[in-house]
Amino acid sequence: MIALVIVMYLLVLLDTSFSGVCAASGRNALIRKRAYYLRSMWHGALWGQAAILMGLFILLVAVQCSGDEQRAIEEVQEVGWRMATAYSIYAAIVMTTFLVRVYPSVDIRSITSTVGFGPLTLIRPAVIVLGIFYATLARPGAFILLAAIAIGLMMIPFRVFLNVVFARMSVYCAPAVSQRQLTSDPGN
Amino acid sequence: MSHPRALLEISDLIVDFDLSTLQRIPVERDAVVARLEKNGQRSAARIVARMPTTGTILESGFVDQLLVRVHCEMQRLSEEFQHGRRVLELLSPMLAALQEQDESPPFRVVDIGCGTGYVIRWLAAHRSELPEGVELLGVDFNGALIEQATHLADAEDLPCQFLTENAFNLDRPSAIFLSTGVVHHFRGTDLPDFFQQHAQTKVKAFAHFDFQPTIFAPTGAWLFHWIRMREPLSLHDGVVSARRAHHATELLAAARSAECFRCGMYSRWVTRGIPRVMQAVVGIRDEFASSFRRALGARDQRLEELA
Repeated sequence: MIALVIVMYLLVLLDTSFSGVCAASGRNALIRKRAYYLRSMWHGALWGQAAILMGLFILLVAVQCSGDEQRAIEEVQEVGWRMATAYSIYAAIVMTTFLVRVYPSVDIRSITSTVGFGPLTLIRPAVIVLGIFYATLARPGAFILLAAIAIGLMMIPFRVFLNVVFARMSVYCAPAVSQRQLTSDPGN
Repeated sequence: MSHPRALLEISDLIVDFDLSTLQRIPVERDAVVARLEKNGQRSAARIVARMPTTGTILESGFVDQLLVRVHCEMQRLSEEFQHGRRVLELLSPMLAALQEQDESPPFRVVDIGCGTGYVIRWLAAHRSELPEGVELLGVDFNGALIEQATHLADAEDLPCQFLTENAFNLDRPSAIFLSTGVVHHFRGTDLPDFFQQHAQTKVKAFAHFDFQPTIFAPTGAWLFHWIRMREPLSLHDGVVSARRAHHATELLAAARSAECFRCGMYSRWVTRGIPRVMQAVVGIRDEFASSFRRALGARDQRLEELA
């Protein structure tokens, strides 16, 4: 169970921090934006912790309501590993695309955007649904199934949610918020 | 719906300038909406119809802020496509050719229609990769975008300058003209006129990048802009830009109508059958042409016939 929790936590952490980058992209017009993007990853990951807590709460309620806690926990593991498998494959493809991007070629880096990150961003909701579908093949009880669906549905609009949140944060609203401002005003 | 070549971009219609004074001309919202509807672009008309007005005139402050946001989103695509590096890879051999032919600095590199100045600021941030004596200047008719570009450059202490000016009326001579996503805005006779204005200056070379209108472009542009853009205007104009971009033959014919330059298309294909998103029409004065080809090195293969 601990291994599952760690894997799922890392996957959510990756997804939410990169969601932060996606939500922050196109809002700042500086050239050097390392600090800006690091901050966006941090903010994404912070909101991700809230999503994780909410997911844990949903699971706890589902286990409590199931009537047979021991069986429900076993189902959570089965469902969890199936979801983790689907999402790990997606994460591995994303990380491999990053590795390809390290190669210092304008064309290869451009192609990673056009045929890599662009489509990967597009299919993220489908991957989440696919993970849930794969989990349902384990035939869990109704409460665990509902919990898996609820957690998946919560993560699908996470990037849209971050977009809305970032649109209200001063650090993401001004195209010229500089490195100096970013580093001197951590409250932003 | 109009033929793709006749499509209009919202950003071309919601701002207008007196070309002699570069003063802003008020734009009537209803006139823009009517023009777009008449052209069969109903979704574009709806975008404009939602914009605020003062009386019947589009609010210039709102339009300026919107265009800054749109340029910010466009910069994201430039970053993903490594456009700064792409320009540098072409600019460096041009500058090397000028040096080889004993042209004396400063070499003024001017980005025409620079918007918020991404390319010039990127080059300024990578100043160490450029030879000594290069001056980086961005020009645009839109004062709000130039103000933003200046602010952005100041925020990062970048050694470059931005002016609300016509590139062809600058007080000091330019060495190289650049542009990105600008040439498709020139339609009909305006396109050869644009290149002929190059010939009337002392500019030594030019490189104008724009979308390449391949069969993948309309769908690819729609998909990519739909994923990446937040502003409806960015999505609309980005897709229309790709759909109405000039073909290489059209660009070359217009560029070659400006005598004094040897012109060719650059960087159209990654490899046979795989097109690049952006292509560039390149021109260089005859005396620098062979030095330029030499300086390109392995990238010379990307340059088609220079004639």
